[in-house]
Amino acid sequence: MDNQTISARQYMFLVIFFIIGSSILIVPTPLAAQGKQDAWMSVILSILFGVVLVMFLNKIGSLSSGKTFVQAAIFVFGNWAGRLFCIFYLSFLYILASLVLRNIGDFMTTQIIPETPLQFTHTLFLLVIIGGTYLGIEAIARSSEIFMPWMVILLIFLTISMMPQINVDQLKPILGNGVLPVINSSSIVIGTPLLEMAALLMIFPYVKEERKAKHAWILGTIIGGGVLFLITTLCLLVLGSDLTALNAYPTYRIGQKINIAGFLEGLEIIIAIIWMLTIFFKLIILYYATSVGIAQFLTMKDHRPLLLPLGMGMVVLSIIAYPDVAYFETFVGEVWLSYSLTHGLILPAILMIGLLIKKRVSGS
Amino acid sequence: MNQGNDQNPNQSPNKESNSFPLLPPLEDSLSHIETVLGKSTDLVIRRFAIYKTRCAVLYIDGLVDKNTIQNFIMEALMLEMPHKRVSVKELYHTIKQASLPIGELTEFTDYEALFKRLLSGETILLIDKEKKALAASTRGWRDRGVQESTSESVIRGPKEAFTETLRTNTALLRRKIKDPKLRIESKAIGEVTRTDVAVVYLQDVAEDNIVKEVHRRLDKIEIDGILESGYIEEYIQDAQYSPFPTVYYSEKPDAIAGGLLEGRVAIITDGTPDVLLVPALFVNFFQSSEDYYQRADISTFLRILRLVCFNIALFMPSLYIAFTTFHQEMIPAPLLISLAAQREGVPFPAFIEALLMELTFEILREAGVRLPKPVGSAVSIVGALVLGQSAVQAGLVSPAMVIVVALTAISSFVFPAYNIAIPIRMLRFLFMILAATFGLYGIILALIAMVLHLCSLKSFGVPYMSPFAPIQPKDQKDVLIRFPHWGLFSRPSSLTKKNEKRTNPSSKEN
Repeated sequence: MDNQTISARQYMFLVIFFIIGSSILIVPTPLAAQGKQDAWMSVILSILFGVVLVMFLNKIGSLSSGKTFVQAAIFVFGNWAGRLFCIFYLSFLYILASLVLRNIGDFMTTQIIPETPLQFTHTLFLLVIIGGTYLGIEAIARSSEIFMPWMVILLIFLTISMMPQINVDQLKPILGNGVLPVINSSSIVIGTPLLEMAALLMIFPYVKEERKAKHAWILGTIIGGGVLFLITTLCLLVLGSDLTALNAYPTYRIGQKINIAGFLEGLEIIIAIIWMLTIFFKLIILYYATSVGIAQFLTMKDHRPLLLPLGMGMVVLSIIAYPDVAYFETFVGEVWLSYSLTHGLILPAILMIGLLIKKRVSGS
Repeated sequence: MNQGNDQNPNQSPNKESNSFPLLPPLEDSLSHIETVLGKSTDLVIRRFAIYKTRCAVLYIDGLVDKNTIQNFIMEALMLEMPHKRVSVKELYHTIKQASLPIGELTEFTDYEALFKRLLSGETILLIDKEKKALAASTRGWRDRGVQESTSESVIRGPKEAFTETLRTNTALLRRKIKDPKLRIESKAIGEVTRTDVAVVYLQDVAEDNIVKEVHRRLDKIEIDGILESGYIEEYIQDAQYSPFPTVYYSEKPDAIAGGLLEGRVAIITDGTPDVLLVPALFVNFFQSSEDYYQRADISTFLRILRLVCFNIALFMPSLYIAFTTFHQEMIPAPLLISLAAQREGVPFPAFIEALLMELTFEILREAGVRLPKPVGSAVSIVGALVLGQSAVQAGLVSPAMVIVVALTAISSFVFPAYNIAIPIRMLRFLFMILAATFGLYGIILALIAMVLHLCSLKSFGVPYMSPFAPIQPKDQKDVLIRFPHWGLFSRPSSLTKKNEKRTNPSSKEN
């Protein structure tokens, strides 16, 4: 494939964007619905789980020694079984990418440009994604470095301008419903985005220094989780758990509440920009992972010829994936965890066992 | 045309026909030269004899300094040579060693070298029955002289600019950098024009592989003529299909000298005052040489201002379109009411309105460049009064739109480098179209696409967006914020890893 490499810092930025992207949109509502005012605790809980998960994924990354997930699977399980194995993984990435695309499309059509048909919104977004994937992982990683400072500035600005609206009473009573809802609702953040990080195994081999990359992955997970924590807590503090649970896009809603000196209002656009940026990076990582994975699956030398056909399929898949937002919310609440658990945890675990056995056999 | 052409071929001197050695009999040689040059009237041949050995001096009138030829060549050869019988070989050696009081004297043996030297202003001395010939450097032609820069004006700092003559330009650089490591390597590019091109760099500072790459790209060029450094730029630039410039140019010797000290390589082309500088990074186009002459605080402020202007020039019209067409709810209510009141009676949608005004401005701008100076003021009257005020009064555009276009226009003139404003001018229209179709969504996606494109560019192996992407913490001292000179402790690490230390920070007072 490409001879491109990215630095550990760039990888960390990609991980941060990957975690924030799309989950910042869809996570606070179900979190507040299940965890109520203690939802912020469940985010912390899931970050802890995320760190353990990343250690496990790091282990796979170093065991497969410079191979991507697809290459490692074919290497371990052979041509046929390995490819069958990869079909599950790649279809997971592809479906996930379509859902992420639909997330931004849904948001745009309901909140920002209601008159533009969904397919055009999706097509325009995917055109940029395809262009970026065509340029390669180096350009993607570098642009993450350009946008990261902007995202940090916007987040800080958002937090500071939200300060007057904060009401600490919204968090009380702490642990009023006991510990169980906290633990239960932590599964939401675990399902999306943490378990989706298995997709990053397709990017991990491109990072220059493996040791630094592992640290970057863990650090990125903590920082990304921290931003999710910040946003969820802000939602709870400003809107309260009930309003957060009722709103489809509570983070957008809190943006509408900003009012500086009676003139600077309507700053929800800042939130929209943060979302677009983060979702863009999440989608481009998934798209890159999918196209490179399929190219390796088909032993093609270059992933670029796949980009356009994959994109055409994705526009269609993203529109037929689910009929409406209510359906999607049930899907995320009930089905997604087991689906992502299968592909984000069990598939990598099988691969790891295979890698360990392979290593043992070839070592002796 | 007529049949005389057969005997008198009007061919241009090129490698194939001239790479054979000189003909020893003088008259044969001269007639060959005359044939090749087609009896051009500016070719001067002076035949004379040094005690029965026939010689000839050749030069091109207008390219040479006639005083030098008169005083140091003709006089020396015709009056001061000993009048006694010597062999041709001996005579040649006497002339070469002792008789010609000329600084630069070269020996050559074939016609290719002869024509190259003759046509670049050297004086050729041919001796009958001698296989070697001599060329004396007598170049001297009218040029503009070192004048004040017209396209890059500064308030503080040197005002001088490069000229059209290569030698003057290298001298201007030598005067600024008196280090023996300053290398000037010349080559001729262009089959017909044979334009002299000099590659200039500091040997201990510039990376060898960048210098090598510059030479490789220059050697690869096959073209009939180079008339300006823009020809070279298009051959050696990395991104052929990008609106963004990946080669920096300047006509100010201090800007180029500053680049050389940072480890860049300058390419001077004969015949143009614009000197190329590579590698060129995105941030270079926002930095003026004046930034280093003024105090650090105001330089920092100006650099940030330029970046703000970059964004205004690029986004202002498209944001206006997006907000007034799609996102009225995001405009604060009093402003929205005022905007709506202005737009009442304007027959066009915001996009058409903006497109009309932006196009008008581009037309005015281009006309302003081309028009003769006395007419220029007429254009500004037409532009400001007739098009601006009257368009509003006639109800064709809203006053807010005029403000937007004016601000955009002024912002695009802020940059010290003219060529970074060119992609802004072109991309602005793309952004406007996307804003008119997709609103803010389209603008942000276009922005992301632009950043992706910028991040994929490289200039001579150096990532175009460095030191932002990849982030180089050490280099941030001289990008947005300019540290005081004692704080600019190292050369930009994305450009060179050699001889990094520039200053001793503790050498400052206090």
